Amino acid sequence: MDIVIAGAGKVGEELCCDLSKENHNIILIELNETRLDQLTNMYDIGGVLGNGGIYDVQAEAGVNDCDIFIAVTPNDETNIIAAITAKKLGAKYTIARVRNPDYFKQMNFLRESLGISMMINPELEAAHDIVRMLMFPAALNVEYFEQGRVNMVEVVLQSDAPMAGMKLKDYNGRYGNVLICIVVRGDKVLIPDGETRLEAGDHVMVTGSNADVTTFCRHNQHRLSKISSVLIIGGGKLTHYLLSLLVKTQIRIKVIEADSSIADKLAADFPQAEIIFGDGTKQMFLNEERFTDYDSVISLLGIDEENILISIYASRMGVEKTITKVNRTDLLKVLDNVGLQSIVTPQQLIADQIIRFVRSTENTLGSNINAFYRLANGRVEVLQFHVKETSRTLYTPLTELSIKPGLLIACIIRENSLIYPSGSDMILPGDDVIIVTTNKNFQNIDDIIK
Amino acid sequence: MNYGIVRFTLGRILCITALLMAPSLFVALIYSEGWQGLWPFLLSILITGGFGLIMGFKRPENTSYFAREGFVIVALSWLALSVFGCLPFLFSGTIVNPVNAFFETASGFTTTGASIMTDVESTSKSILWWRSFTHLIGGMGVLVFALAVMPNIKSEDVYAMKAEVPGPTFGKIRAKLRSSARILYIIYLSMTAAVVILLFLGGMPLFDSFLHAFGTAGTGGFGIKANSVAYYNSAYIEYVIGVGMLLFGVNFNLYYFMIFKHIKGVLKNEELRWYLGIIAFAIISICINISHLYDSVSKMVRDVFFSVSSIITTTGYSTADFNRWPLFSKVCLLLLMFVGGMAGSTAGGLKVSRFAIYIKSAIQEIRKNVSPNRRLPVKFEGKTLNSGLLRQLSFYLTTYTIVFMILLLITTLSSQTFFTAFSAVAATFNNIGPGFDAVGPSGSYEGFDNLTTFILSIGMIMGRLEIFPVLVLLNPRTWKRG
Repeated sequence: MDIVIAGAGKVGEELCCDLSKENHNIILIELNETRLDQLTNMYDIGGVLGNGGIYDVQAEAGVNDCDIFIAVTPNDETNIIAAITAKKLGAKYTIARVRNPDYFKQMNFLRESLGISMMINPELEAAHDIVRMLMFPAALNVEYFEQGRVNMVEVVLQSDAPMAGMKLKDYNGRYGNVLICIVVRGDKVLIPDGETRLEAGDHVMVTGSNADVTTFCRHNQHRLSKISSVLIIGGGKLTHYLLSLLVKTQIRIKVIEADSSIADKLAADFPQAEIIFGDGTKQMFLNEERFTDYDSVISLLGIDEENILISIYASRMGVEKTITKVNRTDLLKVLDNVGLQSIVTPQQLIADQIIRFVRSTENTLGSNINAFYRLANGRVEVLQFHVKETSRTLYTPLTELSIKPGLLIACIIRENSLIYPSGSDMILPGDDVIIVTTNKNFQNIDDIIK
Repeated sequence: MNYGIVRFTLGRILCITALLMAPSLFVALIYSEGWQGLWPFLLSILITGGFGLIMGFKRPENTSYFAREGFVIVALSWLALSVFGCLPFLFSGTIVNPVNAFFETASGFTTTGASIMTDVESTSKSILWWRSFTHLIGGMGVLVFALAVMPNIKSEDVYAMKAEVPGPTFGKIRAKLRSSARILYIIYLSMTAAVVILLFLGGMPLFDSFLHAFGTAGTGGFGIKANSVAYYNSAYIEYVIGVGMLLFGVNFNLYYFMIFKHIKGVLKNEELRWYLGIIAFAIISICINISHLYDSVSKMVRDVFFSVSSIITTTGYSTADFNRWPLFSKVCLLLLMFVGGMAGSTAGGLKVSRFAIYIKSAIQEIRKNVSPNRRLPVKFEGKTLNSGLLRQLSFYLTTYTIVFMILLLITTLSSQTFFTAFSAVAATFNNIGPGFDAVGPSGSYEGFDNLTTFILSIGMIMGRLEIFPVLVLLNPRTWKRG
């Protein structure tokens, strides 16, 4: 597809890197010549020098017949104007990064009246990501579908877990009524059937209701079953979004913020949370606030190094789950063994989100696929179909449908309820079905039948 | 240095070279040259392809590379092309001395067209075909060709393409490297085909039309008759080739914009205006200078147009023996050799854009001496050039001059006159072909000793790749770790 990206910041670079590898034609618009040269040399993309919000620059970049226009400049207003201009010029889909909460509140208005297909907020995405990590603290990774209603959690099977060595047909929901969708064993990726035996060390991706997934995680790993208290260090935008999500849960929250007026505002906005005014990077102060009594410490300061040090310290002192915000990811690889458990990178998250959107658009054009995701380094596809009345899959219990191998129905969305299907469930017209498969090129729900 | 990727890429290039030798086999078959014509090529294909397969057999584990490897790959590929490309000349016995064969091949691939062969007309058709075919390959570049046809193009290959496409700056016309390379080749080959057809319609034999079109397209200029294009004695053919050379001296990106975008923007292109301006100026001043030698104005304009077109695009076809022209006209042509064609074309020389920027910066420098505190930006194509690019351009000229002096010094060892030595270096380093005096249109490069011939061959490759890739090879730091 032809994609134009405005803004060569961290997200812009991430997008250029990933999307050019997937064989899209990418034109990058950037104001800074040195930066533009750097990226056009590094990746197989074209470049246009200029401000992405300007009509002429967009026309030069060929926005008029591009498929997707992505505005990720540092400036919200530029992004919005650029996306609107691109839409009017003829871009099929437009995406704008908007961080200011005030603009974000009118997202629906902007989307519908101005034609911006997707507005994306890195801090809000990061807040959602942190909440998912807190919900399933033992998970390596939480994928989500259908606007976050369906979660798929990746865990490593421990050697003392009761389900290790068990065949799937014997599992029968004994340790939480979950559906095991994908098993990654070394280099192999399996879509399991009843005969598949689980082994210790497997990475399994499971889906189910939140309670069931939690039960599964608890049986797998005795510690870390549930987080009931968090200590957040730093009170920026991300904390604001995070608090607005966390106050709806039962989790006890303490926030440490070094700026008096920000602390006051947080205290006024979130009376349920305990807001502490002080410097969270001081060891004495952390001890005084008894940070070791919290299940999780989340460091969300503006400086990566401080976040990393706080998390290492907390981890050494016995905090079970640390979550660290890191903006610069290029050097993260060396940090594998220093005990950082979970890392949140807002830019990376929105880059992933945008890439999902691009893939989904690419794969859904001209097919009946509603949504498209890739998991396990692209080796597994997750597809969402809307089932029409003419489908051949209707009214038959799943055990009696002859489904192709390497394929699994992970979830049926029927109106407002989610069904994690067992053999006796049936597909009805109007359902949305999420399937997980290692085969490629499914176009239609009927393709799953042999 | 990532040696693995250099070896692997060289291997792939050699395989492509072997494939490109195959058409010569068909020529040998068509003109029924028998075993005599076939075996030099069969053997060359076997040797080149064999080396290529051995070197390119194992894909290296680490395939990442950067500007340094890009330079090394390009420089080594061109050296390897010239070494393996000269095999058919040697095996067929057309050229006995290996250094001379290397010179002839390098002259072909770099689209110089300087020849050490004295008796071209009696050479077999398949050898002549290969000799001119190297112009076609070298014109747009063999790595660009590899990018256009090979699968698995990676973003790093931009470094190789950058080093091979001539000109101070490099702009991709499409977002993808591969589609850019393909479009360039499609434009290039269709223009070549058009020249073939036009020449054939003008009464030139088909075989000759092909070879002359190759020479025109690559701005190479190997003649296949003793007195080059003058042999056909046809105004039509001379104008087709003359205009064709000028068109191949234009930046190919402009053709892309003409086809897919708008013509207006192309006409506003500053480099194109300089190019046409310089040509017009040269034609007029030479015509005035030589008007007493000609009776017919049309014949004079025809000869001057052809010579100017041939020299500024660094082709080197000739219709008139400009050796007999007055000194002013000869020096005019000599200076045109240094200007060369437009950046991003198949021509050599300094390139019109560099030349224009040098003149503009010189003017700004003079104005700056008048009012030292004044800010005086140098603008080209409507954009202010940043100091980094200006610095790079002026050091290019410095390096160019130093290399030129070294080449000149060595060439004088075996030259009779200064004009011979100077024009021989200018004509090879700028990829033109014929010079003046002993190496003039009717002369040959045969008279030089082996050292000079070899040094001039390296000079041609340096000129084609714009010096730095070859110099990078000579820097010991290139070959060390880190």
